[in-house]
Amino acid sequence: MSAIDSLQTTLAAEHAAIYVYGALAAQTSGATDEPLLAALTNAYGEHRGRRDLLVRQLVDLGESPVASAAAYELPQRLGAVAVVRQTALGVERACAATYAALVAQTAGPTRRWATGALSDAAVRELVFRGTPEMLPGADEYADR
Amino acid sequence: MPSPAGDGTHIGPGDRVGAVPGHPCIVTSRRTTLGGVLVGLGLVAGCDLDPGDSATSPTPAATSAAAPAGPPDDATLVEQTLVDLGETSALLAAVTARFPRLATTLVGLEALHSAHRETLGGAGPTPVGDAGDPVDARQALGLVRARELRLQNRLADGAVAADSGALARLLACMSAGVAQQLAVLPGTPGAAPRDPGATS
Repeated sequence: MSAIDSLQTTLAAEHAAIYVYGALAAQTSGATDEPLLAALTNAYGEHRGRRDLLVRQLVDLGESPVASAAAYELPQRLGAVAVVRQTALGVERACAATYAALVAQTAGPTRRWATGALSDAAVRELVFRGTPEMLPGADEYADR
Repeated sequence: MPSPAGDGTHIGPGDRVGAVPGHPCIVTSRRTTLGGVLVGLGLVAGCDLDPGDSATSPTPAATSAAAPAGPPDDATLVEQTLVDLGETSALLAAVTARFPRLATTLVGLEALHSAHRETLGGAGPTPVGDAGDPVDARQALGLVRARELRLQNRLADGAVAADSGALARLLACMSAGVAQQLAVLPGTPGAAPRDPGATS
């Protein structure tokens, strides 16, 4: 996989993350769970920012950024708070893995940016009841 | 196909979101040696995970061991990382010895560094460290926080400097692991709230 392919894959992941977070926020009541809604809203904004930067990088490289899918399949029972948290945690874990892959496929400033994005996703996992891992983003070490 | 939402969300056919590339070259064991981990990372066995984009790849000239001002090669980078991890572990041991009530707080960091050293083939006794002269546990914790933040940054710098994409990824993941521990360390400014549902 080339650096361009990896950037496109990461952009596709961010498109999906934004969609999922939008759905999660829509299912969360600010009246009954304001901290969770705030966390979801913050994550939504962060992922939009990442998406915009990825689009800009690809355009600057003369590439056509991959478009978002029309829709993504969501879990059942999104109205349940536990499902919302678990889904958000899954989004961040998947994004951490995606950025870890981007680190491997790039160099220089892009790799540094991906390294920071990986750490951000890893820390955001904790907001959704994730627990610290030995190597966030590296599933092959998950048993350590 | 895996998806950004984990097991609960499925991406439709043809969507590339879940196409996180595999990493067949990143295979290390718990008891591997430094030489073993370098082979596992493809640094000496010809497993090529270099970026495919020549516009962003480090050039051979820039990474040559003969270049006097060039970045360290990956073997040197691994050795330096082991030194950094060892020194940080030594500080944790010294702080814990001086302020035993911090042992529970610091156990996660100690386990993290031990696992990282083991992953890089450097498992062994923790070097002896010096906690300096903190007047109380709070000051000692501040010292630990500063040292851990420095380690997180050095790991990130190492990721950027690595020739091998596989080693870069591993160091970046280590840096992220330290970031997580810092986020739950008491008193860290901007620490992530652990549980937004705790008050609901």
